[in-house]
Formats: sequence, C-alpha cells, structure tokens
Amino acid sequence: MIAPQTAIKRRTRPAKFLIVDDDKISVMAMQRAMRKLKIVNETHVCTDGQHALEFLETEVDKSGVLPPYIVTLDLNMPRMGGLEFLDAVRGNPDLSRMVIFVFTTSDTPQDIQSAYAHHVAGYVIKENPSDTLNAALDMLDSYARIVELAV
Amino acid sequence: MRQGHSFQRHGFAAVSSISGRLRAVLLMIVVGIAIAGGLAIAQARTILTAYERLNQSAFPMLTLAKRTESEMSALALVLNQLSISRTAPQIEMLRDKVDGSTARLRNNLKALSYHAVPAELITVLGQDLTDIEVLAETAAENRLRLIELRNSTAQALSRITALQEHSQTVLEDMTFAISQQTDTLLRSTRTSITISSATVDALFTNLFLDAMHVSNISFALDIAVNLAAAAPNAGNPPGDGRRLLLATQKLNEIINRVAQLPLGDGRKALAANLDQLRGLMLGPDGVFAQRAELLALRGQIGATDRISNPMIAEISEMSSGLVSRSLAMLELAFQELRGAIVNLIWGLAGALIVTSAAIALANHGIIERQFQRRILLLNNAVSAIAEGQLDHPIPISGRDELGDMARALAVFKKNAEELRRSNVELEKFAYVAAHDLRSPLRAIQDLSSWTMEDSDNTLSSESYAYMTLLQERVKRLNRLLNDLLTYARAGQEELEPETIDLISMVRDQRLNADPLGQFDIRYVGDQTEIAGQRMPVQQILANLLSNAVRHHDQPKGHITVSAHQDAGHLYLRVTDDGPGIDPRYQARIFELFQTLKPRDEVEGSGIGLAIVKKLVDRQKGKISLRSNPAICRGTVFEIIIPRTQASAEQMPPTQRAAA
Repeated sequence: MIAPQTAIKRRTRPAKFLIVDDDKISVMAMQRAMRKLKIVNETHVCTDGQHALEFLETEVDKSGVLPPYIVTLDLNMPRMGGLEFLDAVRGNPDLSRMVIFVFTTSDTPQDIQSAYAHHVAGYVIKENPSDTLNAALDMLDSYARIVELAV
Repeated sequence: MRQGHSFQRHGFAAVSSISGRLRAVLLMIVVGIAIAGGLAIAQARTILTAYERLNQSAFPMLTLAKRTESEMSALALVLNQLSISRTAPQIEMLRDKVDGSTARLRNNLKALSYHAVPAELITVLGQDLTDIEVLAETAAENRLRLIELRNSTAQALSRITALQEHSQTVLEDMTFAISQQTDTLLRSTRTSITISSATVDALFTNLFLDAMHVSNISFALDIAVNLAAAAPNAGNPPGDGRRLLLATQKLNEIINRVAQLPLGDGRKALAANLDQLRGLMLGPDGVFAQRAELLALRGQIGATDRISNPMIAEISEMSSGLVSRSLAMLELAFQELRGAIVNLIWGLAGALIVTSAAIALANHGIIERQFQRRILLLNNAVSAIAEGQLDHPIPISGRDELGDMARALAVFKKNAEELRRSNVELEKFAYVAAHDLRSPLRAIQDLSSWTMEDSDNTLSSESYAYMTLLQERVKRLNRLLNDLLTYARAGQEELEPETIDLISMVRDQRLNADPLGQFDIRYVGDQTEIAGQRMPVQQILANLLSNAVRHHDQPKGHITVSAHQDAGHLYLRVTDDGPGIDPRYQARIFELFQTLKPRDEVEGSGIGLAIVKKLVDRQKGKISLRSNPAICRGTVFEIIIPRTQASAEQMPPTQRAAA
C-alpha cells in the first residue's frame, strides 16, 4: 500500500551507522577507517547493548518509524552483551527489522550460529591488527548506498 | 582369629556377591530336586516292596489257594466216586488218587504256611486233611472189605448150596433106600407070617423114624439154607438175629436127627456136610457172621460218608476261604501298590509344582528384581553416561558386584563431570582469554601503527625503531595468544571422519607455510586419499610444514609429505632436507614453549609441536622423529594413528598414482 512517491522518498533517506562497542580503541579504529574511506554517513556510538537499545527506542519514539541505522554490533560488552541486544531488538516489533552486522573478535562457531539465528545481516571477525577493517567498512559503505532499509 | 574373620568376610562376600546368590538359588533348586528325588526314591521303594509282596506273596498265595481249592474239589469228586464205586480195582485206583491228592494238598498247605496264612488255619486244615485221609482210607478199606465179604459170602453160599444139594442127594438116596427097605419089609410082611409083629413093629418104626428123620433133615436143611441164603442186603438186624437162631436150631436139629440115622456112608457124608455147613454158616467166618460184619461195615461206611461229606464241605469252604483271603490280600497288595504309585505321582507333581514355584519365585524375586532390573538400570546408566548424559541417576545399590559397579560408575560419573566442568571451564577460559586478551593487544597494535602513520616524519629514528619493535613484539604476543588458543582448543571436538584428498590439502597448507614459494613442498605416495578427521590432520600438517620451512637453513629445499593407511592405522610422514635436530633436544621439542632457536632468529611460539603432539595423543596415536645432524641432514617426522570404528567404516580409500 506504499505510494510510489513515498517509495522514492525513502530511497533518498540517508543511512546512519550505529557503532555498538565498549572498546574505545576499537571504535577509534572504525572511525579512522571510515575517515580514510571518506564515509560521511552520520555515525553514533553506544558503549553497550543497554545504551544502544535505549538510544534506538528514543529514536523510534521521536520519529515514529524505524530509524535508518545500520548497526555494527560487538558481542562482548558489559551490562548487555551483543547476543542479548539481538534478543531484545528482534523481540521488539518496532526494532525487529533493524539491519545489524556483528563486528567481533570471536571466531567461535557457536557465536556465529547464535548471531545468524538472530538474523544478523553479516558477521565480521575483527582481526589483529585492524588493517583489514577497511574492506569491511568499504562493504558497509556500499551496503548503505545500495540497499534499501526497512521502515 | 584373623583367619576366622577373613573366612567370615570371604563367606559373607561369597553370599552377597551376585554369583553367590545365583549359586544359592541353584543350590535351592538342587536341594528341591534332591528332596523330590529322595521322596521319589522312598516312594519307589514302597512301590517295589508292594510289588514284591504282590509278586512273592499275594500271587503265589492265590495260586496255591486256587490250586488247593481245585484239588479239594477233585478230592471231593474222588471221594464221591469212591462212595459209589463197586469194583476193587476202581477203589484201589481211587484210593491212590486220594493219596496223591492229599499229598499235593499237604504240599500246598506247607507252601501256604510260608505266606501270610495264620498257623492255626494251616494246622486245622492239615488236621482236617488228615481226618479226610483217614476217613477215605477207612471208607476205601471198608468198601474193599465189603466187596471181599460179598465175594466170600457168595462163595460160602455157593458152597452151602453145593453141600445142600449133595446132602439132599444123599438124603434122597437114603429115602430111596428106606423106602426100598420099607417095600421089602412090606412085601416080606405080606409074604411071611413068621416075622414077629414086634420085630416088624421095630423094623417099621426104625424105618419110619429113619424116613421121618430123613425128611425132617431135608426139610430143616432147606430151611437152614434158606435162612442162610436170605438176601443179606435186606439187612434187618433183629430179623437177621432171629434167623441165625433159627438156623442154629435147625442145624442142631439136623445134627440130632443125623445122629439118629443108621450108620452108613450116608450118615457119614451127611455128618461131614453138616460139619462143613455148620462151619460155613455158623462159624466165625460163617455167612451169618459175614453178614453181620457186612451190615456193620455198611453202617460204618454210611457213618463215614455222613461225616466225610460235611468235612469235605468244610474243607472246601476253608479252601474257598483261603482263596478269598488270598484274593483279599491280592486286592490289598494291589491297593498298596496303587496307593504307592499314586503317592509317587502326587509327590512328584507336588515337587514339580513347588520347584516350579520356587524357580518362578527365585526368577522373579532374585533374578528379576535383584539382577535383571539392576543390571538393566546399571546398563542404562553406563550407556547414558558414556553418551554424555552426566546427570543420569544411578539408582543401584547393594553389597554385591552390581553395587560395587554402581559405586565405581558413580565415581566415573563424578570424574567425567569434573572433566567436563574443567573442559567447559577451560573453553570458557580460552574464550574469555581470546577476547579479553585480544582486544587490548589489538588496541596496542592499532595505536602504535596509527602513531607511526600519523606522525609522518616527526618521530625520531630511534622512536620509530622502538615503535617498530613494539609492533613486532605485539605481533608475537598475538601469535602466541592464537597458538595458545589453538592448543587449548586442539582436539576438543570429535569430528566425523571424512575422505581427505592429501594432494590438495598439502597444496593449501603450502601457501600458509611457505607464502613466498621458496620451497618444494609436495605430496608423495600411491595412496592419495585417506579417511580421517579433517581438522586435526590439517593442523598437524600445517604445523609440521611451517616448522620445516621456518627451521630450514637454506633458501631452497624439499619437503615431502607421504601417507599410508591400512585397515588398522594411518601412517603420516613429513620429511625435510633441513639441518636436522640434535638428538639431545628431540624429546624436548614437543614440550610447550620449547624452541630450538632464539625467538628473534626464528619466529615461533614453541607451541606448534605441542599442538601436534596433543592432537596425536588425543587420537591415541604416536609421533616420532628421526634425525641426526652428525650423520646426515634432514628430519623425518612420523605419525601413526589407529583407525577408529567410524573411520574403518569409511569407504576404502582409492589408490591413485602420485600426482
């Protein structure tokens, strides 16, 4: 029941990045890489799942629709970890259609399986060092520009 | 004392053990069977006794009784025949028969006396038999005597008749003579007158007297003879006595008259005849005496008959009684036998039922409840725990082997739980270590590289060198961490065996071990496919190849991988032409953090071979190396891993020519 104008309008809504990670250096690495790749999308940082959840909920209340965030999610965080955040988000009808990429150091198959069980868009393993982050962020940039987000 | 205790304990253990209890059950069964057998044997003995009695006693007794009975009736018949027999040979024969009968009867009685016949009965029967014998003997003798008497009476009578005839003839002659004399006298009286009347009277009177005598004698003789000849069978004792008297009278009269007769041959003949007649008639053997004896005999015979018949009847009754008694005994013996057999059957049936019940009870009570159920529970528990369900309960207790096993299983379970817990902890630890250590490591790396990037040329060369060293150390730390993690995780998972293409695996690992492609790394061998777990094999190869490359002292070299797999084992070999490993250090190199060269010379965490060893150990295999730099260059690492059941069920690897 979406009118063609509305569809076109959505096409132009810019994607924003929400980085959920408690590691300051890790966030710095992401931001540095984004700078290098000249990614200019708006970026917000939350230090744990709880913060991120509250932030998103506030955004929903403000705009009434699903905020256009692409989330990069770390798994190991205090208070609310990545998987718990996924549980909360996927359980919340307002937020369940959010696009989430897991960015974590964990390479255990269990974590990968759990993440995909929560219907994440992708799973990226952060390596030491972070040089290879560029490729991942390049991919995110393309993703943000091409892929249509849900409402 | 001690021995007693240990025996007690031993004995107790023997009873409380499973086999002990089973043996107890078997013992019960054996005892039951023994008791049943004992009862059966006892019963069988009773049966045998009853049968013996039947065989040795009742039957023979019956046979004897029957024989006695039939013998008795035969005897009765003989006696009957005897009573009506007339001829002496007949009587003799019957007498012999009686003798034979009684002899046989006596034998029977003697034989019977050995059986359960009361002695008095035998004695009475014996006595009766003797009586009958006597009676029969008497009867026979009497009858014989009777016949004899009859014969002699007949003889006597015929003689008497002969004498009578003779005498009558003589008397007739005398009568004739007298009548002639009378005639003569009469004629002479007629013709002569000279004879005196007195003489004539006297002569006449004599003649007349003589004639009278003669006729009287003749008459009396006839009467006497008739009297003698009167049918002796019409025995009328008073009549017979009178006749004797009369006969005696008549004979006396005859004798008197004969004495009156004139002397002469006639008189002499008559006198002789008379004498004989007197003897024949009146004598002790005379007809009358004989007749009297005959009568007496008849009376005796009658009397004996009268006695013998009831006696025979009595004996017959007794022998019938014997028969019925022996039949009763037979019946009794049969009943006894039957009873014994029935008892046996009941006894055996009872024993069978009791034993079956005991076995069923034992089966349920002991085997089912104590063993089967517990064995089943123990089996389930063991299987469950082996499969990994470590919270499966072990609901078995007891003082026997099962109880011991259950307790041992509980210990295993606890150990397994501990192991699992520590494994889980280790994994968690490794996981946590990986994350919590890696993040700061990465941060250090990033910060240092950003510093180097951002600083452009503001860093002094010294600072720059420090930063570079910093980076290298961080990288080393990273590698160490990764290797530690790999070591911790090595062999944790049980993977399914796959068919591994060794040529492609070696080709892949080559890039990791020797990214610059300086060395000739290849697979050599006929068998290019093996069945095994991919990850461990890959890790082993990776480590061994990387070691071979890193420790090589020349810019170019050859490293070969070969493998061989048979039904029992997998043989893996990595050979290089490097400098070799001094035998002194060959044992140490498998330990954690052991390296052969300083870490600045050869980048290595010292964990690689430890990982390889851990993987090999986990698969219950063996790793060995051959190398002696003093003799020649090169090193050969050899790994032997036994095949698991699962890997043995893999399709046999195909043989392909070396690529």
